[in-house]
Amino acid sequence: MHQTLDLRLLEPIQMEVTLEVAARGVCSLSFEELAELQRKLPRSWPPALTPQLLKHADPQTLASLLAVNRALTDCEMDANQLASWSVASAPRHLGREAAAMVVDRYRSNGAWGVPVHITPHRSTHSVASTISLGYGIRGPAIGCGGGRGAERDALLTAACLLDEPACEGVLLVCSGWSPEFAVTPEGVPLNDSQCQAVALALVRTNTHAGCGSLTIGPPRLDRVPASAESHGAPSLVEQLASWRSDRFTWQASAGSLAIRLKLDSPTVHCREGEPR
Amino acid sequence: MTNDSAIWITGVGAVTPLGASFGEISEALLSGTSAIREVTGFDASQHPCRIGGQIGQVECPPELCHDQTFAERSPMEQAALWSSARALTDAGLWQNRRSLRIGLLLGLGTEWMHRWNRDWERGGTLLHDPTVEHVPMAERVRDELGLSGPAIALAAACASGNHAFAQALRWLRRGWVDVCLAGAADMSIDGRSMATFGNLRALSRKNDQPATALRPFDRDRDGMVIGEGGAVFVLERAPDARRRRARPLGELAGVGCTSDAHHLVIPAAEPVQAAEALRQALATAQVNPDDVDYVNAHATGTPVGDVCEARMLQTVFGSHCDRLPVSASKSMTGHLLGAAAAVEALACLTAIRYGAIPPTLNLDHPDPRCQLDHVAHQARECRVRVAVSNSFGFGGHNTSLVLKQVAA
Repeated sequence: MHQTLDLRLLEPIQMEVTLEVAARGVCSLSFEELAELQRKLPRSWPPALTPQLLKHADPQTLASLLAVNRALTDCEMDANQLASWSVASAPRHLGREAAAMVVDRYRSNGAWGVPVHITPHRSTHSVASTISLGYGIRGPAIGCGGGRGAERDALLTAACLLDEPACEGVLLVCSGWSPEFAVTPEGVPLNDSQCQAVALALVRTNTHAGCGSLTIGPPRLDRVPASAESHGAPSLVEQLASWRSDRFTWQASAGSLAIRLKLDSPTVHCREGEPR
Repeated sequence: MTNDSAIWITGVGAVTPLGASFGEISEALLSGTSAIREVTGFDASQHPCRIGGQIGQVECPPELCHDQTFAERSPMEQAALWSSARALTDAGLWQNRRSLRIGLLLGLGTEWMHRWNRDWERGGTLLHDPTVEHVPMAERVRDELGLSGPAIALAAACASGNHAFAQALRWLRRGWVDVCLAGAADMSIDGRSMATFGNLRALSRKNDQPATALRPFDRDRDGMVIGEGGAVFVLERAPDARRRRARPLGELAGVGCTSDAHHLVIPAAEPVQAAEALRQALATAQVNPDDVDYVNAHATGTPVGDVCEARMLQTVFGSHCDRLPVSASKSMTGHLLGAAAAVEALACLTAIRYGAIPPTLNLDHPDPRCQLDHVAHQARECRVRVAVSNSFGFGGHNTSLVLKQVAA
């Protein structure tokens, strides 16, 4: 028989964690720019990211890869030295247009009309897996959330991944469409939209040499801004994609925890010939 | 000897093709019952695979009997709610849940595809017109249960559940929550999912012999069979559980997670990273390979995967592999995909609690490339103090879990 839990016996162990944002990359791409990116992959991308691999990739995967590339450029990090890193990605409604196409094909052609690449390329884990594969990352590569508020899931996950002593850093990638677009039954978009992605390179050391910080812990007295919480509010990715001021602060609550992301300088590094 | 940093499992809730309670599922696992049948609920006559481990209807848990909307929720959400509510009751925490910081970590690899498919089947427009945004499932489950901790969903294909365990360990050790619910749910026996995996040639085509179709490690295996369900566990720091005299089902001693960085579908031929995940899990759990008493293998019954896993086990365990019992409970439940790791953790707890190892069904002719100490056909009595559960997934996800018996 269980005893009733006496709350007075629970130790109030509350630990705040602060991580350094060593680098960041942001992109916002139109349908045309995505098509061009898929047709002609940047030469600066790792050789493992082949046209064959990315032929069926979701647009959010392509945008995420571009954001990662920019983050690595930002901190002059060697893309071949990421084996001990991990990935946490938070796509938002990944593969919705592909899912529309699949239900249409299933209805008209039956089981044999369903393409085989839908699961490997359009599942919540797919972005993280592709980044891991492309950059030779051997740590965990996890998809987080998948819908509204997914960035909170990814930020919590990233902080936990960095608890592992063997993990040198985490590539945190959030992506989504702004605005979400309607599609025809064949999966064709009916309104214009931008595919946006942000990549943050998070490291454990807090040297203040990076471009920001991530803090997770018990809530403080200052209130969480409603803009990060309410339905229909701009996501973290949307806010970062349109960030033009000197400093960026994003706060959100995750149950009994509070998350605060601070970034300095909105400068975005692009390689020559890349879409901005 | 007490271990104050230990994390105990003090409750479990589950719904699987073999039953909807720990006792019922354990009994079916130990008696070698196959849940694989011809699928119903949609016309699968033109599908390459027409069999699966189906649940049918997930019942509303008694804790949520006031919920008039339960029947309208998606099957995946029903499985998550059933498992979570039952786990809290099993741990003796249902009445106290609102006064504790209880976190929720769910492995939900296919939440959004399921939501869109279900909405579309019911004539909805969510898939084509997303102006109405839905609240994520983990948040809805947390709110329905009245929990106050963080609630998140993780996806790493068929390894999703073990990532939930890994993160729960960190939340508890960091002091972010008092109690954590961790597990996974997946209900992928539907037309589109079956078609995708069938067309990938990942599924068995032995449609005429459902109960013998899924044949992990067997020479004549030809692919997996999808199952559905979920399992959620209550995790607490051992000192807290001891103080309230909670009954430990086991200790969540370690989790190891790596990536192959090799291919989006096929596991690396040299299972270096899978071995690394297992070594990490053993090191975290402070367990020597020779101390492991049982391995619940990932073993999906695919030609490539089973051989890779056998090689990995031989590499890590060396000569101990000759006398280390290995079995694949998927042969009874089917492959629960995103929920597989959670349900297989339950199979390990079964072995620990009952001192018997669930068998691998249909292992008539072990593949010579998979030489292991197989527990074939029938359960084997054996004291299990340390159990390992492997779960791997599309995208190169490798995870291993170490569970320990808690000394009385």
